This record gives sequence, C-alpha cells and structure tokens, in this order.
Amino acid sequence: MTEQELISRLQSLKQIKPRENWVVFAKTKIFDAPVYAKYANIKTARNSVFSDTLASIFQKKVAYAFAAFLFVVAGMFGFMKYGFFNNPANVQVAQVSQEHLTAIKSNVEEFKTKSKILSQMTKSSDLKEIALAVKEIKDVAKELTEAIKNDSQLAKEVALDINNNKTYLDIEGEGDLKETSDILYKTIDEQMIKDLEGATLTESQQEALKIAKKLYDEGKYSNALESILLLNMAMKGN
Amino acid sequence: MNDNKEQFSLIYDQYIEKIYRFVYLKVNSQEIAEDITSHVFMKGWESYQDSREIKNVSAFLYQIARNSVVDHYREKGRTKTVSPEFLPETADLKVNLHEKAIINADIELVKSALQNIKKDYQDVVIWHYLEDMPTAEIAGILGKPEGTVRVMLHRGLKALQEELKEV
Repeated sequence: MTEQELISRLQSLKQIKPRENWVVFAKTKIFDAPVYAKYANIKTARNSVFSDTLASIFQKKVAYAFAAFLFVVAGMFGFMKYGFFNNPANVQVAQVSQEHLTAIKSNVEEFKTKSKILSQMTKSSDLKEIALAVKEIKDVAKELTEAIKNDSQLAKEVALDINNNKTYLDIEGEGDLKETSDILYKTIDEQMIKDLEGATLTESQQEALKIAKKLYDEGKYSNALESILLLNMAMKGN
Repeated sequence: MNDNKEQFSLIYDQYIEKIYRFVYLKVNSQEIAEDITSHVFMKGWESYQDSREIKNVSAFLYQIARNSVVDHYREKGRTKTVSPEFLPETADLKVNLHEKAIINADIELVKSALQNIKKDYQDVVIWHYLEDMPTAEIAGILGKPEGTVRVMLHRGLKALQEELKEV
C-alpha cells in the first residue's frame, strides 16, 4: 500500500462521528449539570421496572418487543387516564368511579392475556397467529395515537416510557410494526414540538429544539423524541 | 457569564466531533468515548469559567483529552480490546449494503492497525492526517520541536503500513 493510499484510508476514519442525540445531551449536561443528575436518576429508576417486566415476559425477544410494549402502555394508559399513574399531580383516586375501576382492571387483564398469547407465539412462529397479533397491536397503537393527539400530558408520559424502553423497540424484519411505531413516534413528536414552540426557551434550549425538529423532518422520529425528552428534562430543571 | 457560555458553546460545536473521534480511536468503545469526551468538555468549561487565559483552544482540549484517556487506562487498569463486532456510528453514506459493508470493513482495518502502533505515533497521525492539524500546532501541544513531530509522523505512517501488511 502506498503512502497516499494509507493517508486516504486514514481520512476515511472521519466518518466516525458521535451520536447526534448524545451531542445535544452532553451539551445540556455541561451547562446544566444538576439537571443531568436528576434525569439520570429518573431514567435509572424507570428503566429497571419496565426492563424487568418486559424481559421476564418475552425473554428479550426483541422482534416482538414493540408489541409487548404497546400492551404495557395500553395497561398503563388506563391508570394514567383515570389518575392512578405514579405522578402526584395526576393522583385523583377519590374521583375514580366504579365504572373506571372496572375499565382499568379490564385493561390490565387484557394485557396479561395478550402477553401470554404473544409469548407463546414467539415459540410457535405461526404466521397466521402472528398476523392476527400484528393487527391487534396496530389497533392498540391506533387508539394510543388518537389519545395522544388530544392530550399533550399523556404524550409526555408515553414518550418517557417509550424512550426508557428504546432498546426493546428495535424491530427487526417487521415492516408493518415498524410503520405503526413510526406513526406513534411521529404523533408524539408533533404534539411535544407544538408544546415546546409555545414555551419560553433559552438559547441552548432553542438550539436543542432546532435539532429535534431537524431529526423529525428527516423522518428520524425516535431520535427526535429522545432530543425532545432531554430538552424537557432540562426545562424542568430550570 | 452568558458571554462565556456563548463562546464555549461555539467551541463545543466546533470541537465535539474531533475530540470524540480522537478519544474513540484511543479507547475503541462508544460508551467510554462518550463518557471521556463529556468529561473533557466539562473540565474545559470549568477552566473557561475561571477566566483562565486559553491561548490555543485546540491544544487545550486535546491536552485534556490525552490526559483523560491516560487516566482512564491507569485508574481502571483496563487493557485495550479490539472488538471486530463493534462498528462506530458512521455518517449516512447513502450507499447500498454491500458497499457499506466494504467501507466499514476498511474503517475497521485501519482503526485496528492504528490502535496497535505506539501511543505517541497514534496521536500525531490522528491529528495530522485525520484532523488536518499543521505540524507546528502539534509541536505546540506536545511541547516538542516541529522537526521531531515530522519524524514521528514519518515513523507513525511506517508503523501503520507494517501493521496493515500483517493483516
């Protein structure tokens, strides 16, 4: 190999670049160090609960993780909607009627049953069953997407949980589900960007929002979501 | 304070990729490179706020990065490992999968070879050939005469050629 060839090969290493989200996150971390510590604590606590649940049910079968996640969220959706979610601002236990309690219970039971079915399905790999499950999952996703469209607070809660389970949401070879998850991400992004555009942002926060919008425009909805969440955490800390 | 923040924000934007790449090539792990690079800029920001006069930002940041990498290996007693499974996140090249695989394999080859040469050579080769840093500036960072840097560059390239021959 000639010296010139070697130099040109060396220059190909310029392709090594940091993750765009991390670049934004690290910047926030530097300028708002206490906020980062707060974010890290929340993330760790949430991660352990959801990761353990998903791992125990699906033994980390990633291809169906999005499905599992949606059922988890669908179950949680009941809690959030009726004030049972672990957020002091949303605790409205006293106002929950008997009817709502039944709805919540039904959501949880549905989640358990469908999780079991899906767990079996990953073993049998029956194409018909999988197709049926995919349809059911898409329906759940559609419901969630509609709910998020009308509720920015719900969008934030779901966004956080999606982000904390990101490693479980990488769907390999499931085009249909990928499309569904993209629509869900896109809807959450739109709702949260709209919220942020109406808020007062510092210069570095504006810059972070710009990056998130760029990622959204490029169709990188999950990356955009990550940036938006970091920005939200930074804003809460200020 | 705000002026400082604004200025350092620009420095961050200008150098984040370079420092990350430099660190990554030394530690060969995305996670560790991210941690160390954050630390570099955190330290840089602290010094910047203390209004310490920084004549050469590039030299200042690379110096922190070099020391941080040394600290990393010293404190943790870690040895370098080259994982063939790991590929860094690369820019979207918009090429087909086959071409991408060839390019990635090429990058991996040079990266591994680079990691097997002497640390001093690694630094000068990365700075000069990857980051287009003039030899005078490298001499400034290392506190060595420019002639010595040129010799190091020459020897670094030779060592790299030898490494690649063995593959």
